[in-house]
Amino acid sequence: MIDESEIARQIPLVADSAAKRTLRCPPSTQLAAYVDARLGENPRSEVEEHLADCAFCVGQIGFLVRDSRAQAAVPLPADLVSEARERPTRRFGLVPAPALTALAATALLLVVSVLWQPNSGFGPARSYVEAPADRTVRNGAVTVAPPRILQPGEGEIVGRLPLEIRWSTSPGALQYSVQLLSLAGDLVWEGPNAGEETIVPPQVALEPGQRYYVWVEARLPSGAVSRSDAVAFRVAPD
Amino acid sequence: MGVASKLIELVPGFPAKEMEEAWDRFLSEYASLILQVVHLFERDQDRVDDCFLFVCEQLKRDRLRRLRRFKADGAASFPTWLRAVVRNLCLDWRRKRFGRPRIFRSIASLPEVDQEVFRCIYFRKLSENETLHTVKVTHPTLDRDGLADSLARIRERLSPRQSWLLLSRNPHMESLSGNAGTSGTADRERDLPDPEPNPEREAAKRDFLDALHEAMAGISPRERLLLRLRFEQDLSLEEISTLMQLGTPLKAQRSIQRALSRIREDLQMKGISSVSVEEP
Repeated sequence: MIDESEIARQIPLVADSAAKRTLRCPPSTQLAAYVDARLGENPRSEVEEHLADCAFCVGQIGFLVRDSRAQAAVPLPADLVSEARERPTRRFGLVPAPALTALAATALLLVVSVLWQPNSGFGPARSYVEAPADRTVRNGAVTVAPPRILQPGEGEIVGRLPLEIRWSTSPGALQYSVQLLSLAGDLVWEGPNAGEETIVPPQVALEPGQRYYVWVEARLPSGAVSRSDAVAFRVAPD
Repeated sequence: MGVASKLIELVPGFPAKEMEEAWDRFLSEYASLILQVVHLFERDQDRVDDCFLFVCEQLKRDRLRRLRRFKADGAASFPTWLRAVVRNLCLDWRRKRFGRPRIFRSIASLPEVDQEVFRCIYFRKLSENETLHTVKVTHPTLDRDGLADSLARIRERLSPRQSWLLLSRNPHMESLSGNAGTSGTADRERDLPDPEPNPEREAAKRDFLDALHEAMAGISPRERLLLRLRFEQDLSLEEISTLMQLGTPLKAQRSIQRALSRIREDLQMKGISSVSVEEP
């Protein structure tokens, strides 16, 4: 007769041997919401189904629950915090001065050339006043309707690759930046664009069956950025 | 949530000065939470500092991109979400710092917990105490007995040549005046491989684990999750019943018992009448 307590003791030994995060794993936000008991019934069932077979995520859940049990205060060394405060990151504050000057000059040239054409449709007097004030834009100086993703549609299953992305333009925008993110929130592709559509290069491998997010940012003459809502879509399975 | 919602308001084009201010506010409020998580992973003060700075650097990167991903109007609370993110970064730091050197095929076929123990003992040259502390972060059910079992399984798999290779690669230096209790001279002596592995016992053990794996696959995902949370993650019945919204710990206990019974029946149907793998 097999002893059930002995079976229980052996269960940790049959855990997956590759406890790594994969593209199928739900984002940290969802796992945290599961631990906080703030998920609705359907997303909760989906998360549980995933957890049953994912060593990485079940480890994350176990960690979050155990961690919330007892929080022993850890003394915070002041010098360590000030080092974290001061330490530059690789992409922040390291742009060389000549590059910054060149960028500023290009931006200024673009602004001047756009404002110079009276019928170009980019005139500040027209668009900024007429635009619906439904989205606050940084720097507070102007309020402009953000771009809106037209294709792919929300929840669409995209069957044809390379992926084509279209959006409605923002009045006065100088340039658009399209960002494509994985379900985990990692940036998969980013492309600058001056028009209202772009094609994701075929070398950007989008996985069949996977969910992705896309949004567009419009760069305005004021230097402000206006971002569209994110649109979620799925690549059709093979 | 104040700091969190401030961070969410930031968009990629905001001025650098604003980002620095947001970063300062964030650190003032959450540096202790980050350090708390880091302490669960590392004990050595230098490693704690390194890991903490790595986590901060990653959070600050690309104008706080990771932090700005949090949705203030979403379902998760900011501290819980941040703990999850910091844990992932601590795992990244470990991988970057210690790497994942290739392990022998014989060890790679052992359970994940054994592979972790192997890396700690043979690659990172940690003592048994340090290994226990380190592996417990990802395998919380591991105790001293479990570690001893794991080491026995590893030793059984190592050939004399592999043992020699491991001992001759990156020899571990210890101070003569050092504290043997913490650095593990005694541990090292116990690490000598068993010269006579028992192939029959090994085969029986593998058969049992394969059958158990199949039986686990045969129960429902919810039951599987219950068992994993209880026996892999070492959560209490109360924690499990809250997490899985089962109502009371008693209900959780009953569901676990039912799942174990089904596994036992499955194993018996496969002709496995004993779990004892010591005496095949």
